[in-house]
Amino acid sequence: MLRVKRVSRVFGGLAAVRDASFDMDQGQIVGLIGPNGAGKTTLLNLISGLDKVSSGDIFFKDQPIHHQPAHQINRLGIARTYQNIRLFAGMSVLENVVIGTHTRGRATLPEALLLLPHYRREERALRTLAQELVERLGLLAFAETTADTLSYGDQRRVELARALATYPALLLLDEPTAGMNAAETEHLGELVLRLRTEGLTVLVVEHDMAFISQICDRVVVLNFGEVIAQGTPDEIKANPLVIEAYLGNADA
Amino acid sequence: MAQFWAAYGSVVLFVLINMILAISIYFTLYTGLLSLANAGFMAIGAYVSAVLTMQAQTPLVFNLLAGALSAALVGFLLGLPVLRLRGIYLAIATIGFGEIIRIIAINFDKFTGLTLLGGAQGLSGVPKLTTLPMLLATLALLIFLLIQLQRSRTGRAFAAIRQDESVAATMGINVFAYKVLAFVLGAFVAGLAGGFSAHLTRYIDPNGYGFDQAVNILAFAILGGTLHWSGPLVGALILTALPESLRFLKEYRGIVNGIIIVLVILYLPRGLVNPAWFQRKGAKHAQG
Repeated sequence: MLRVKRVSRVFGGLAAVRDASFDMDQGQIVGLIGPNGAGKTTLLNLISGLDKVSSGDIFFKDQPIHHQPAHQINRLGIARTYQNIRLFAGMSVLENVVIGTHTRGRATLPEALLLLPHYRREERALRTLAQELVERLGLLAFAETTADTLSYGDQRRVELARALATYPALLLLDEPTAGMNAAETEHLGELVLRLRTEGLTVLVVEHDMAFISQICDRVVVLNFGEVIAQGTPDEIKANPLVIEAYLGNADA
Repeated sequence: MAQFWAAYGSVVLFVLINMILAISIYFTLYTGLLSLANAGFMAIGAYVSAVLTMQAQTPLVFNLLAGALSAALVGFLLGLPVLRLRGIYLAIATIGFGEIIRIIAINFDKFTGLTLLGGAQGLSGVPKLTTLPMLLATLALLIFLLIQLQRSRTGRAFAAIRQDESVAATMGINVFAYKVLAFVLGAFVAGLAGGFSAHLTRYIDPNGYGFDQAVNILAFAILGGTLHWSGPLVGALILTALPESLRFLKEYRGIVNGIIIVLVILYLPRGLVNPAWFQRKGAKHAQG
């Protein structure tokens, strides 16, 4: 489904990602972990098209995407959330999610300006769609609330609803549990697992190892921009290279 | 009433034209683009429509639309390269465009050997055809279309781009295409205002559409604010009508406009019009 092949991203003289390779299959939930500054977010930016690779290839459904603009990549079926929440401030929760439905609309601007029935039907349909996602993520009580006044945990769920509104095949989550309490984290894990049963593939950057163990089939570990280990969560926890990356060398 | 109209009729017409200009810059500001090209687009609309009226004697509606469409076409061609720039760089590039238009207007007759635009002396003798009902109808139509635009998918894309281009792009919104669209819509409306203005003042001064005018148009939006469509309209009303009511201050009255803008920027940085006044629960259109 997603194939990252010898991807590097160099900023000046510093390689934020170096020769990183990994694959993901349809329906998998893969965790991307690593110490701060390991290049996890850079890698998500490269996959979602917000940044361009210095070298290497990224394939999605066997199609090269590393030269595509971000909006095309989204239309191919990749959506994402952000580590530092980036909601449309000042807009309501529902408005934020409605913007996510953008690519599902077909009505042209003249149709909208003339209030033609086709446009009005479509607007109603998009709003219903957004409403359903808001409800599904337990945000119905806040639908008309200004998004940036919610708690961190709730804002993260709004971001998730907005990303899901683009109907992705692959969802990229950047530290989705940051700012959530234990109960919220567990609920989010259950939601991600449920989405997977509906065919969604997920790549999740996360520090919370309990969350990773709860949902991930496989884990990819980055350190200093390089993939140092891959495997099941249990294998990764026992891997001496990973322990060294996080805790330093035991002999030191 | 007749007395009021005799004394202030032209002020009312200028207020309405400046409100149309205010709408033209609202399109770009609403999309997060700081463009100062609208004075140049206004000049294109003014010259094209006036020359058609004077040389071809075609109907005014046709000439105004031809002027506006010419401005939109130039806006499209200009937008393709300059909309890759952001923030202050876009502002500088569009100031440069305004200068290019001014210099072309001044030298056009000399280069082509025609007597169309009147060179540096400007184009005088344009028939006075702009009327109050015409301006009122145009403004009402533009406001209606603007409100519909903001409620539509296109308006949501504009607002999303203004807030966060990268996020908008990862929502599948073609950021560049929508920026070009906003720029072209602004150019069209500015061109329309230029046509009305030429057929009201009966004269086109090539230096009247330069940097000063570009900043005047921007000042409407800064004063009124861009969080609601009515903001720039309020700004245009105040900045056009106030100097007239301050005639007793003689040469000092220009200072009042400056002071007002400074005070608004200091104490109401989001402008005079607060969208919260209009917001009901469940308000439908997106606000920045």
